[in-house]
Amino acid sequence: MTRRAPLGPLFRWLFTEEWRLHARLFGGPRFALVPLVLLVGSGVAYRLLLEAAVAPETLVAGLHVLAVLLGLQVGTVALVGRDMIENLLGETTMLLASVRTLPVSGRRLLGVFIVKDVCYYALLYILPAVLGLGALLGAGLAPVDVAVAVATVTAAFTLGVAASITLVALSTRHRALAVGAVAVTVAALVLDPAVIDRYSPYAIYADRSVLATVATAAAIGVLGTIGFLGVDLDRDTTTRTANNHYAWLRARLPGATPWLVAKAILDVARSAGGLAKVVVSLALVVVIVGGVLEGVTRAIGIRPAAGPAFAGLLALASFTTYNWLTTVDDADLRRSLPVELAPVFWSVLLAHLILALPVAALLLLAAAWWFGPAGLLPGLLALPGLIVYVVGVTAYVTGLHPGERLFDAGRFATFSAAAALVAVPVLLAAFAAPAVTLPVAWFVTAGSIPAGAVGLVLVARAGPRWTAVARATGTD
Amino acid sequence: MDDTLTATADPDTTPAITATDLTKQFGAVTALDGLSLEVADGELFGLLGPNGAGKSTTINVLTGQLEPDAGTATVLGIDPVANPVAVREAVGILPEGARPPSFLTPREYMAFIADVRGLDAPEDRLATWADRLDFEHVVDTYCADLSQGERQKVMLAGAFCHEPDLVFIDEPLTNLDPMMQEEIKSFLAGYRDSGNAIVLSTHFVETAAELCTRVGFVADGRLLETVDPAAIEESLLDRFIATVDQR
Repeated sequence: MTRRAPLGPLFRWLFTEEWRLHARLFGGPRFALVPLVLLVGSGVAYRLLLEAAVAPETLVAGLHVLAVLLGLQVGTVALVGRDMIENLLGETTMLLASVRTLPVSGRRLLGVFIVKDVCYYALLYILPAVLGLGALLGAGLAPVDVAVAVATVTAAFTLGVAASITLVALSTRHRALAVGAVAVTVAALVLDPAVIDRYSPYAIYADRSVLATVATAAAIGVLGTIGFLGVDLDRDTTTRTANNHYAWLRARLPGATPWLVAKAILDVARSAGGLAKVVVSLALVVVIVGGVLEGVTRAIGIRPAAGPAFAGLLALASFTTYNWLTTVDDADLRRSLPVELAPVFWSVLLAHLILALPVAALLLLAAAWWFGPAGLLPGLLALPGLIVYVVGVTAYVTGLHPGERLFDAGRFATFSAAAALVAVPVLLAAFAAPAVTLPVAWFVTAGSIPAGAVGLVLVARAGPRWTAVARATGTD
Repeated sequence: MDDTLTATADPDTTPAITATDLTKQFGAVTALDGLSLEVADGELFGLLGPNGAGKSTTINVLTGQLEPDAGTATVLGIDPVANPVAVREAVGILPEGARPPSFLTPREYMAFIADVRGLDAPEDRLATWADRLDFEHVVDTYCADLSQGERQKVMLAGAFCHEPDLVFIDEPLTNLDPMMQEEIKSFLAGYRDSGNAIVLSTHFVETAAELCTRVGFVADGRLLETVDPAAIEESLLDRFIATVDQR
């Protein structure tokens, strides 16, 4: 009988590898400060939001949403496909790649890998972010609320991981299955948003609901099982061919370096998930945040203005597009070509706008259909400026490696502060009294112009900044 | 004998590369420790040394990808510190282990390279290089789905398609089967014989002896010795083994 690799040591080694990988990439000891920064930063942010009249329940609801989103992201990265794994992790994925050379089944190693991811991110990110709620003790929250939130936000994160793994597993069987599952979920949430109130991890927190506890546990169990057993690890590896779309695209693009933009767009379009990953990552924000806002609306009685609220959220969520664009790029190859970094950043901005802006605009229209058209036009007009701001901040703070560099405690704090600078006012404006909704929405639009200008300045400064880093360290 | 020697090219020819006292530190690690060399036009200069000797760092500095902490260099008359992009315009570079973009086809990659370098007739160039390196049958296949040897050929085409006077190649034969290695060696020899300069970084003594017109032995960030390939077996190999043993 074949001996099966023991789970404990596999888990321990994968966990150790993850820690060492991050610690090595992000400045060693500084990486250990990430949970501390999260704890302090989130505590300060919660306190400021409380002072701005945001109810503790709203904050906790928002935490659940963020946890689901992080779960979706983590699960997707773990399983998004061989192309992305190669590009994301390359030769550093020692243990995951070892499945080919060691007597461990791919499914077994993958299962442990996912459990490791859940534990790792829950410990390092979810736990400190929830414990930050301690800053609200005596101001609407009791210690038992924080303790329950630790469990329910972790459950929300695990649910997100399980959902994304299921979607990826379905897509390895047939892409239509994954699309169908997303469509059914979206339809169910749109038709009956109250399902979140009754069955979600947030319902466990809000109502201490046994029904929601059972539903959440069942959902995680079922989705996790489908994902784990359903993923096709030996799926088709047919050789892929293509016509010369590069030349076609390049001839139609504006700017000084259309070839860089064309390559960036093709990289995203042809890598695992295709252009759908841009749409899905933005649509998820609308669906999930929309569901929470429904609950918030019922709790505080103010319906948010869809225009500014979703313009801000979609601009922030378009960070994922920047991440796709830069993840699929091969830095070693680029460095060997006579290309400066400055035009690379401009081309990423242009490709980002081409990919994300139309999708975000359509989703903003969908949000307006859902929540009503309040502030729709100002929201649409604010989108480009807000997106350019997010790209500028991301480019300046993280260069062309956002996924890796945001694990650095200092950079993460800077990025969060810069994002909050725009996100907090926009979200607060969205909850303005109905009588002043429109003027406030136009104020957001006006604010998006300097925000966009700041974004452009940051993109312009990203080139020289990261060129200096690249020439000193060999890594841009 | 001084451990830090200067590799000097034939005085009758113009140096394609002149580097003096290059130094580069990565934290506590000294990657280059006063390395100096000269490579003449028409030379195939081998940088031979064990892993971590400083060969790739030398190439990265000479091609403007990395700024040295100290020292000066001129590549085809261009200062790579002051004009890094100009150097990369003039030369060809094949980095170690580099692969063409996964999601472009070789046809698209060559069009991309033509755009980056401002070259005309990308289709003609593709036809020429695909024929020369024998990858016509995969020009419309995603580079991600090519074999390692086919990817290497596409990368060679990308590095050589503008027919530069000087090409830097880092470990071009790693992981290739013997037949593919022979094909690529033959191509490099032909390019060398056409009067172009090539800097070949390798840790394979036989490859250096077979292809190079001059070989420099690099260890611990220094150029320890340069020899004629004919002498490589007697002196350099002994030195090579001794250095590795000392480690």
